[in-house]
Amino acid sequence: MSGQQNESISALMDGEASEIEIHRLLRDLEKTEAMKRRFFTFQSIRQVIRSPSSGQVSLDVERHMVLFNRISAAVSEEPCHDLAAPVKRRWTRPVAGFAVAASLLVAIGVGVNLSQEQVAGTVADQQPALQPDSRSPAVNTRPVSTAVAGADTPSGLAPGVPSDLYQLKELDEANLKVLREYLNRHDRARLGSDQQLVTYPKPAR
Amino acid sequence: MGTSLREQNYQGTFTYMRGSQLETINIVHQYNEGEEHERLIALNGAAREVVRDDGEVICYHADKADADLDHNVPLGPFSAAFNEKLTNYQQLYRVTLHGTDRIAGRTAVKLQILPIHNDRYGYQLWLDQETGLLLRSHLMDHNRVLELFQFATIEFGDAVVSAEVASRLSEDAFSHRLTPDTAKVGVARPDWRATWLPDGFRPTRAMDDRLHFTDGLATLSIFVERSTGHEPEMTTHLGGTSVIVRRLKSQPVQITVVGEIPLDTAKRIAESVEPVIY
Repeated sequence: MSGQQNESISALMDGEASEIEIHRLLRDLEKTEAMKRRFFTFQSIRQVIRSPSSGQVSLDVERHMVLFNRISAAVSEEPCHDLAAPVKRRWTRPVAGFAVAASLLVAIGVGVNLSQEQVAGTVADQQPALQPDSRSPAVNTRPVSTAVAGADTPSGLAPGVPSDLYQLKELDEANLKVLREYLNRHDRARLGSDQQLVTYPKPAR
Repeated sequence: MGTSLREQNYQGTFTYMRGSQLETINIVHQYNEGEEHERLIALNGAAREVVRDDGEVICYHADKADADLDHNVPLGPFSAAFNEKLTNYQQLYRVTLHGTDRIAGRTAVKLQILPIHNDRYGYQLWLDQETGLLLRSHLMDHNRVLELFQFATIEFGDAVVSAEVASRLSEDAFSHRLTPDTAKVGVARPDWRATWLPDGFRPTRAMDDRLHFTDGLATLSIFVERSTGHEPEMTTHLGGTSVIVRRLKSQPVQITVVGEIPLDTAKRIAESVEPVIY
């Protein structure tokens, strides 16, 4: 593996890889077992670093590679039936490959977007591409606005989305815990969300 | 497609990506004599299994010492019955068919579900052509994919036996129930209400301090708690799930809205929460 590839993986994990680097990495990932192994090892390390107190162990590299290969094999056979123009067909093939890797790449900080070229067409007929996107909420939880409200702080909601977004890791542990609790309680409510509806004071219209 | 999602026997592996959360889950699903049985094995992290026996959901932890009861529940993006109601969404979403695709080696029918109003997200769904099982889904904010769910492997058939859907963690595994006490579901009179909700959101649970709603696809929750006055007000999101925490001006109460809805929608809901006067 070249030093350039190592640098690219490192940049990818730090969310600093350029679009060209990501495309090249994903292309190389398809080609070499050594690259895949390196990639998933990095990813496992990254996951442990991100949650050092959890004591949790990531999906091991071998299983991750098996999973990756199975997903890749399945999607590489996906037809491009919706695309009429030959030039688009060429472009979309690697895009489909990027989509395959999406679920595997999330842990290292890459957003999932549709490319601009795809946006120009019918969105529903096209596949998502991976792009580094500083706005994307798909990777990290970003508190758009946090403020400890004092006694004289006006209640009500924070104003619109500021440009200085923070990442999940920048929340302190107490706030992270609160955030997780709400998410988990919400998720668990879905366990029964297919049940019958209940009575409730009707909202005013 | 009907109820086929529930009435099939299948096993496979899926991934569910939501923000920084990535779950890889092995699932075994059995339908037997009118009852659903399901076992979900987390392949990442601490050894944990979720077993669904018809209406009851129990989580098993291999190690009691490490058992964090406040963990997430990796069930995928939708409630089990979501696709039984697809035809009911026409007032809220525009559903279009987009041919077939191949997912996890299966032929899938591709659907696009676009919201008619901008107060909620859209979806792309790939449903197994033969059984109707959801094989892949994207939660979409216009052209951006916020959440992704996908089966990597899936096998259907009658080969699922009862032993496969029982937890294999040792007998001394620690377990706790995830489904709420049925005696309490939907019977308590809520002390709070939202005076504004997006069209089509209906209550699925209403308790004194929490409200849960769904429009059939998206879900949202409102939690009301006593405030100390020092909690942070937060506006944040994880993947497509928005979280807004605010304090009421008039009372020492904290309102939290969580749901697969845009931040603006969550914000408007949070602003509309008020006490119920019976």
